[in-house]
Amino acid sequence: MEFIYSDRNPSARTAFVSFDAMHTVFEMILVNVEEEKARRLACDVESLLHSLQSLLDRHAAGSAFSMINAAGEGVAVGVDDELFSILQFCEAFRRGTYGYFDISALSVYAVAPPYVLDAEARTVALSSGHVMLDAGGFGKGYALDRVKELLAAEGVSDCLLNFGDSSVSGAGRHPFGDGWQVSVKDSADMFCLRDGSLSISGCMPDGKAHIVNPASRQMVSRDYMIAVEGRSAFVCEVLSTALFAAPDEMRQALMSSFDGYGYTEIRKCYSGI
Amino acid sequence: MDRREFVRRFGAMGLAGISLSAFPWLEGCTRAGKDALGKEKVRLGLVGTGSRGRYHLGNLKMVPQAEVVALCDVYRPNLDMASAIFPEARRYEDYRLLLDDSGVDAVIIAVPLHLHYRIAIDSFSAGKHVLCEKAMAYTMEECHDMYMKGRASGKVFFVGQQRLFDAKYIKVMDAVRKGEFGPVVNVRNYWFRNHDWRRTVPSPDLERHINWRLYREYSRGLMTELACHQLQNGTWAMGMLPEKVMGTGGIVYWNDGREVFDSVCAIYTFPNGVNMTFESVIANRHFGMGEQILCKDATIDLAGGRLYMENPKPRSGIRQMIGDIEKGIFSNPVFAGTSWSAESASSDPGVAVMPEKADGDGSVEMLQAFCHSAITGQQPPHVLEEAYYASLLCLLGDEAILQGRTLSIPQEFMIDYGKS
Repeated sequence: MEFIYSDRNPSARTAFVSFDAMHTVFEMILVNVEEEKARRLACDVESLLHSLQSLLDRHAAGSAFSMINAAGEGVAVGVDDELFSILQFCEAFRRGTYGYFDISALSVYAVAPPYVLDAEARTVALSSGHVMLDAGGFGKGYALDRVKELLAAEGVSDCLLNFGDSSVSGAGRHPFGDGWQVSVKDSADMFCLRDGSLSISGCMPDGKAHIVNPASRQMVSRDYMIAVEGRSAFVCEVLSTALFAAPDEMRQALMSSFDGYGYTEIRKCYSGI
Repeated sequence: MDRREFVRRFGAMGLAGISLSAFPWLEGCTRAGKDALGKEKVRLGLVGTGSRGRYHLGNLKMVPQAEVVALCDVYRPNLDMASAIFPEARRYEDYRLLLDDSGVDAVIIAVPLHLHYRIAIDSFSAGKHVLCEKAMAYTMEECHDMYMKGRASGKVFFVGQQRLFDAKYIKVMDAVRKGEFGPVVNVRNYWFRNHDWRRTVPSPDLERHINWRLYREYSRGLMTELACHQLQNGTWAMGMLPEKVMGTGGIVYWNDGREVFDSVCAIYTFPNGVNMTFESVIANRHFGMGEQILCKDATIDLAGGRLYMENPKPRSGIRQMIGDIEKGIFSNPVFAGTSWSAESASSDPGVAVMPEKADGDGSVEMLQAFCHSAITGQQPPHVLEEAYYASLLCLLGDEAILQGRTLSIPQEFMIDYGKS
C-alpha cells in the first residue's frame, strides 16, 4: 500500500492511498482527516476490498462466485446476506435493462433467469450447468459504494475514490471547489462529481473488446466509450456496461427506469500532432 | 516495491547502496581502493595482440595502476599494431620468453581458446599473476586444472568475464539476490548476428590461424565465444548452479567449410526448476543481443539496461491532486477511462537501471580490479569461481549439443561455488 499524507496546506490536509485490489488499482484522496485516522481507514478500506474480492472473484478458488459456478445446475449454494442482496440486485438490473446487463453474459448459452434465489434458505442455484456468473460488470462500482458507506460512517465527508480509472466516486467537495472535477483521458469530456459517481465502459485501453452482448454472446466493439453519471457507483457501472452492450435504439428505453442517471458518449479527440 | 519506489530506486540512483560485501572483487574499482594503492603500478605483459588484446591495451591506457611493459604475438602485423599503442613495451614472439622476463608481474592472455590452458599454467609456474580471456579453456578438465593450479600458485587469477564488473549488472544482481523483484522464474540469453564471423585472411595458409573461431581444433564456436558471457547470468542471479543442460545446434546457413555451429540452442535447468536458455544464430540479427532475467514481480533487460514491473501501475491522475491542494488549486485531473488492468499494461516503458547513460561494459573496471589485486597480491573472493562456472557451463552446453544428451556437471569438476 502507498500512503502519502500532506499537511502543507493547513486548511486542506490531504491523504492519498493506493493499493492493488480486484485485479486493478484502488486510489483515494481523503481531505481533512487526521493522519493516524487516515492510516487506519486506509487499512480498513483495503480489508473491505479484499473481503469483497474473496466474495466476487470467480477466478479465486474458494470465492463465493467460484463455488456457485462450480456447483452446477440446480445445486443450492448457501450465501451470506450481502451476496444474496447483490444477486437480488443483479437480477433486478438484468430485468430492468432488458437483459443487457447480465452477470451470466459469459455463459455458453443464454439462460433466463440464470439463477434462482431462495430467500428463506438464503441460497442460490444456477439454472443450468452452462451458466457462469461474473462480477466484472459491477464489482468495482459496488465496492466503491461500500467504501463510501464505510468512510461516511467514520465521519469522512470529503473524498475522491478511483477504482481502476473506470469507476470514480466523489463525496462532498474538493477543498477549493464545489465538487470533484474529473476529466477523461484522450477526450474533451469533463465531469464534476458532487456526491456522485462516474462509470466508463468501452474497449480496453489497447483496443481489445471485453464486454459481451448478452443477447448475441458476441464481444462488443465500438469506437467510443459510454460514461454514466449518477449517485450510486454500483448503478453507474451496471448502466454503462448495459448501454455499451445494447443497440443504440435501446438506450432511451433502458435509461427511462433509472431516474437521476445520465449517460454520455465519449469520443477520443486527438491533438493532431 | 511499488512503482514510485521502483522508479526512485532504479531511475535515480547509481551504485550507491550496493553492498560491496556481496561483490568483493569490486574493491579495486572504488575510489578508496584506488587511493589505497597510491602511485603503485603493476607491470603487465600481454600475450595475444589480436583484436581483443588490442582492445585491452586501449583500456589499459585508462588504468593508472597499469604499466604495459611487454607484448607478445606470433603474428607480426598484430604485434606491430600493439606496439603502436605501447611503443616502449618489449616485443616477444614466443610467450615463454615473455614469461622469463622478470620485469613482468602479471600476464594478460588473449590468444585463441585452445592455447589458454598451456600459457596460463606456464604463467603460474613463472610466478605471474594472470588475467585470461574467456572462455577459461578448451575443456572442462583444463578449466579445472587451471583453477586448481592458479589457486595453488598463490597468484591472482582473473578470467575475462567483464560483466562481473559492469555497474548495471552489479546493481541489478544485487537487487535480484536480495529478492526485490520476487523469485527468479526464468533467464533468457540470446545473441543474434548476421555475419559470417570471418576475418580477412592475407594468405590461404593463415586461414585456420586467423579464423580459429570457426574450427573445432581451436574453438567451441558460439558456445565458448558468446554464450560464455551470458551463462553466468543465471548462476549470478540465483547463487546456484544448473543441474543439467540439453541443447541442439548445427550449420544452417554458413556452410563454408567451418566446423563449428552457426546456430545453437541450449537449455540449462536449475535445481529449483528455473530454466536458463541460450540461443544464437549468426544469419539473422533482428533481435540482436539479449539478456533477460524474469522474476515474479519484474523483468530485467540487462542488455538494454531497463527494468519493467510485472504489474506496472499507471501514473495516477489523482496523486497529483496532493500537490495541487497544497497550492490551493482546484485541479481537474485527467485519469478516467476504461478499466485499467495488468493485462493491458504491456506498453510499460520501464525504467532505466542506471540514472544516466553508462558507457562501457565493465572491461575497464575489470582491468582496474585486476591491477589492484595484482598489486596487493590478494585474490578477491568468488570472482574466479563465478567465471569458472561460466566457462564450465558453456563447455557443458557444447558437449550436450554434440552428444545430443542431457548432461550434468561431472562431479570431479565441481569446486566450492561459495555463497557471496
